[in-house]
Amino acid sequence: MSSLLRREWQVALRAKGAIINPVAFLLLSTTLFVIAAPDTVSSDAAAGILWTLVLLTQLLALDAMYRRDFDSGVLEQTLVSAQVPFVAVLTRIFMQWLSTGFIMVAVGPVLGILLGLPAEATPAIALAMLLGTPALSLLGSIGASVTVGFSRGGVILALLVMPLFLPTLIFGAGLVAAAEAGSSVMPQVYALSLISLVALAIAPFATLAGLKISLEMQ
Amino acid sequence: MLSASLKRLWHKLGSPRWFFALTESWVKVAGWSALVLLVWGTIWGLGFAPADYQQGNSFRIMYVHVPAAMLAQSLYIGMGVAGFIGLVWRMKLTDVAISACLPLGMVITALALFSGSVWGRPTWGSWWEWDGRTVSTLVLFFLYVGIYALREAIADQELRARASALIAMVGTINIPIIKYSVEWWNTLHQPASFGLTQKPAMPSEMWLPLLVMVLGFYAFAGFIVLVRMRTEILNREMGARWVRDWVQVRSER
Amino acid sequence: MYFDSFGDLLQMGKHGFYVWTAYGATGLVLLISWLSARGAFVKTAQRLQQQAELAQRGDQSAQHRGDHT
Repeated sequence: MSSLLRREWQVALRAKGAIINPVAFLLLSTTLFVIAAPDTVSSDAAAGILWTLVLLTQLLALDAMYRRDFDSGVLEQTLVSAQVPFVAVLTRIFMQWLSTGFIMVAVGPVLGILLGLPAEATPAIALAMLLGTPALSLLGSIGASVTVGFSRGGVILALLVMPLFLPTLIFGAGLVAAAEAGSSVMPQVYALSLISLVALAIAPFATLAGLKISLEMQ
Repeated sequence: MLSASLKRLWHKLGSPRWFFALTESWVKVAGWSALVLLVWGTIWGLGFAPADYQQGNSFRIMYVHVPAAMLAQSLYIGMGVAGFIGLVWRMKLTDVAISACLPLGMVITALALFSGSVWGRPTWGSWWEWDGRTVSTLVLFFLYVGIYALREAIADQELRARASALIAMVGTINIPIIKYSVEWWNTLHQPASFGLTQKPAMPSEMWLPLLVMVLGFYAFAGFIVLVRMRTEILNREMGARWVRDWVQVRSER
Repeated sequence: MYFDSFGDLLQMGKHGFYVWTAYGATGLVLLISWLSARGAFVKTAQRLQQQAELAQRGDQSAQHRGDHT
């Protein structure tokens, strides 16, 4: 298990762009939003916009990461050489989350400030990201595993995965909105955690099955 | 004794040839009952059922909208179940089933959205409202399109079957989660939302035609799915002896 | 009959346009679904029949060729 983690870490370090690019995209798209619709800053829509942009960024990062590893053969190698493929897949998803979703725990609150959300909401944003982004990485991996071999897979990935992201989006944005309004965030905390747990239950198996299909398609 | 014959039945169901022979009469039954039920339900719902106290005659759209919405969801769940059976028991016919349900499911979902919109305009004033049910149905439509796009992108039949089965299963598992989340979202944003649950229970003169229409829609779906499955079986088993025999018998008729 | 006249049925108490649009769309969808499914089946059956006829003719000509040896 530790050798797996070490290898994954080495792969991740080599691909620093994979971490920086999504963050850059997120900041860029936020800027576009604010310029196009300045009234949304500090408005009720800010929490929703924050989450939507994070979601789209996750999608891009997911597609890019899986595609790169697929094309370079790293993915195949990982599955073939692993003693327990299930664990290998789980480790890969975990690393993917660390480099894209986990980062949102820090970046999300910054974005919140940019969008005019009150500073008191910052811990709530960080919590929402922490609880919600695992579901995005897990469920997104299922879609990525099947579309990674397609030439225009990105669009199909978005199509497959957006419905799955919807519950996380609803409760994630709801958590931030509740924190803004000063009401309890516990219902959303439970919901987000539950969704991430369900995702954890189905995603590794589904992703493994999907990867096997994609590798056979080569 | 029973389990042995059930097992045999199960294995037979996986055989395209046996399925094809069995469903020859089923298709006729489904088709004719669909016709009778739909005509009966339509005439009853349009002409004989009483008008709603609040909505007036526009509520009659319910007799086509609700069955369509129910069928839309059922067909997707059917694909998910077929996918599960196909992955666990490696039955090739399940992919035939998925390919048969997909076009009808997409079109029926679109119809549910359209009829819902047309119902909304005279009743609640707008062509479209973002509420729990519209969002859920819209997401269902995206789930269908996702599988459609996936199937279009994979050329190999076996891989396409496995990928579709996987995604259909994942989608089906997520449907209750999505529905619940969207309902929760809806209660936040539409505090004074209209709901069929708020109204008093429908009298039987109103929901009996609905029952007939629902049965008619499902019979119709069964008919279409069976016809499409039989077509696909013929395509896939073209070289088989039994197909040639069937063609010969058919041309002699 | 709920309605007093056929005109009333068409009008649906000023909701006629909506009711008939919805039912019309439904009817259209069901009709096209049926025709499409049935058409595909018939086309496949016809194609198989043509193939069978071609194969039969091929067998016959092969037989004739055999007779001349």
